[in-house]
Amino acid sequence: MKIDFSFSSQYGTFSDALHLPDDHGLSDEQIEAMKQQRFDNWIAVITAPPVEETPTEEV
Amino acid sequence: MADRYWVLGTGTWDSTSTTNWSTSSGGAGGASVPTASDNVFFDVNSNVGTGAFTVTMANSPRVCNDFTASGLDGTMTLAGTSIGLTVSGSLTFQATNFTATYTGDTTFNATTTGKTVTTNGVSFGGNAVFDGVGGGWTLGFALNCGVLNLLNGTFDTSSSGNYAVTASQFASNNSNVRTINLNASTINLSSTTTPWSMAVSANATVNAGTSTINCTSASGPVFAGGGRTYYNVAFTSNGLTSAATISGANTFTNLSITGKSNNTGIGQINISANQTINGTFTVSAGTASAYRMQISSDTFNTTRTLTCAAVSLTDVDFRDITIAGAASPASGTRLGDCKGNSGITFPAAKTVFYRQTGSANWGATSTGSWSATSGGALDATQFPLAQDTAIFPAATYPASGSTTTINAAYNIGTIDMSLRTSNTMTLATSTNSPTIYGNWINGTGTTLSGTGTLSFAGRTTQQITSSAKTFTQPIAINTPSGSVTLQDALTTGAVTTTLTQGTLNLQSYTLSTNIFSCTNSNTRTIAFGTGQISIAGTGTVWSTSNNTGLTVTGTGTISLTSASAKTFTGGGFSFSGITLNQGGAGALTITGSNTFGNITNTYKTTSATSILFTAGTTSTFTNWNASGESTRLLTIGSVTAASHTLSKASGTVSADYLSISQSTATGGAGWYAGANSTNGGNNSGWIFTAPPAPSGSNSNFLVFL
Repeated sequence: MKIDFSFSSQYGTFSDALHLPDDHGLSDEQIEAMKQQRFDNWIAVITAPPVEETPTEEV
Repeated sequence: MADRYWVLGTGTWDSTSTTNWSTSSGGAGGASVPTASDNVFFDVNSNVGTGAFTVTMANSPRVCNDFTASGLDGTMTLAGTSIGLTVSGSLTFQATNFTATYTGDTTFNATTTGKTVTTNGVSFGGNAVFDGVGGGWTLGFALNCGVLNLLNGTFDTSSSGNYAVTASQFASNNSNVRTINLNASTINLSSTTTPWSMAVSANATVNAGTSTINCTSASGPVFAGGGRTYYNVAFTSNGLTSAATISGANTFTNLSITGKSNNTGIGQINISANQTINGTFTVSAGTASAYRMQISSDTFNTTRTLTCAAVSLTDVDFRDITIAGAASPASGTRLGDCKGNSGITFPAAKTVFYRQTGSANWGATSTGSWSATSGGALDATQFPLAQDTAIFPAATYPASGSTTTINAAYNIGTIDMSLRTSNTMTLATSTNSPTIYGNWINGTGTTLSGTGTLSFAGRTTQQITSSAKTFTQPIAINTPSGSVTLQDALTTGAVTTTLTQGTLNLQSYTLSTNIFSCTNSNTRTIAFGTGQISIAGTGTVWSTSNNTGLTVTGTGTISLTSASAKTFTGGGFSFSGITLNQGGAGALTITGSNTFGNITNTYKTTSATSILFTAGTTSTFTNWNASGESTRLLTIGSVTAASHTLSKASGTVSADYLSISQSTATGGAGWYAGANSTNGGNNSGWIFTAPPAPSGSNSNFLVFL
């Protein structure tokens, strides 16, 4: 089963999905914690120190 | 025409010194320096006694008619640094007691036929150049030189001797009248660039006879055949490390490519024109099924046709290749379908299971890394091909904590790691850049590492399930008529995501990357759905500067989140349903006259920031929802001290807490900056008040009463 979810933040909206077995056995609280963890991880990635990079030009 | 004999041993052959030249063998020195019409002889009387001697050429290239070194009873060295020898007649080196160490070209410039080149096994230190209109040279022995360059005349390897040529390159890349007679000779060419160089072949006649041309380099040899007919041509390296190329619409009797037996991975041959093989097209087996070759069109998504009478193919991947002729449909052993092919019977797609117990390579020697069944025996024949599905079992294969390394730029079908949850694994790509033709499915126990690009090129529907795992690799989508659809949020490290061809379908999910590049003229679509592309990088982080062929659909968001300055290079494109969001502290610069569905500033909840437009551009919006907040004004301005234009066709812009300068607001809408905004000057069209209460409010209702 797939559970879509979104969080809004100062950086915009984070939309993701949890892919779980149909018999996952997780409680609602555990699922909410998983969502929050993914959002927190996303914030950590996009707020990591900036990296200078030149865009790739395709032929 | 005169004869000149070298005497008195060691000396200098330059343009003035007569010391060592005599009019007779062993005669007195002092004869004039030989001219291009004089024959020169180095013989038993050229040295003092039987001593070794060195003839050092100097000044401009030394010239002669016939050059004959014969009868020497002491070792003669023909030396010279970057000095050449020009022979207008024939050349004979002595097999023994003779060494040529000069490093310049040996040029043959006769304008009549019947000349011979007999090196007797002595190598030229430099190149051999044949350049005489109407000249003709026949080998009298195998020739070993740097580049063999035929500019004019006829080069013949001898129909009786069939002498071999060993050179870095055989070049005849010009439009002069010339003929190459290869007879039954073997030509071994070692250049890492263009071992056979006849890209320009006008006025050239190639009589291939039953010759064999071997391109021996492992590093990117190019056979530029110029559309001529050859007999046997072979790429003989068993460890090709960079792509070889065949250019020109050539005809071969046999074309063969040696399979890899060292340098693990995949060797590539690019075909830049249609080829005809009247005999057999052979790609031989390497050491193992993981040692592969790839035959590709040199131009992605442009088919090249190989018309073959017969084929012998083992462990080959094909991309954009049609095999026609009697051999079609061609079949072989473990042929991988990298799309764009026809006339080839590929094995049915199979599912294989990783079977190594610990850290190991994707492509391994011996029994390999894969099994036909989950937990079954290792089977060297089960290497996953581009049309296959590779599954990592839930446990043991590999053991939790192990690393599987994609150890070459393999062509890979579906990678399914969904079963890896509590038993973790790392899938590493190192610096390799594999191409994916199926789905990519991470498990929650997956870790990804590597810096090479992951290219998705399935030309059909492909899916990426990230399972919250960050892709450290750049991602490139190059899937003509295909799509890559996210099944959840996709996050990359500090790398670029590139859309070259095909559709990137976000559905409703967030793609987070450092830079998004989509600047080319291929047909491609960004299907936002309701999803978001969140870009964390600095500098030019969005590039659609060349947006020919680009379609953007959906109502999603592009959010630029860096705390440092970043630039959105739209290229004057209509992002009509898309919201552009300032999501970070760094000033957002927008270049080009673009159209957006909306513009927002979610960073206002944290701090002040800026949105800057390029002076002279017109940015068009369906909606404007970019505002600041108290003490966190949003600066709207130009990059330079000149005005930009903002346009909205109708309705009302109701902003607030803006600091505006160099801004012309137009288009028909009412542009209300709000009561708390500041006018920084050089503005037009902005109204620095709150918008009037909308009609239909209570006050208007009372008037009607």
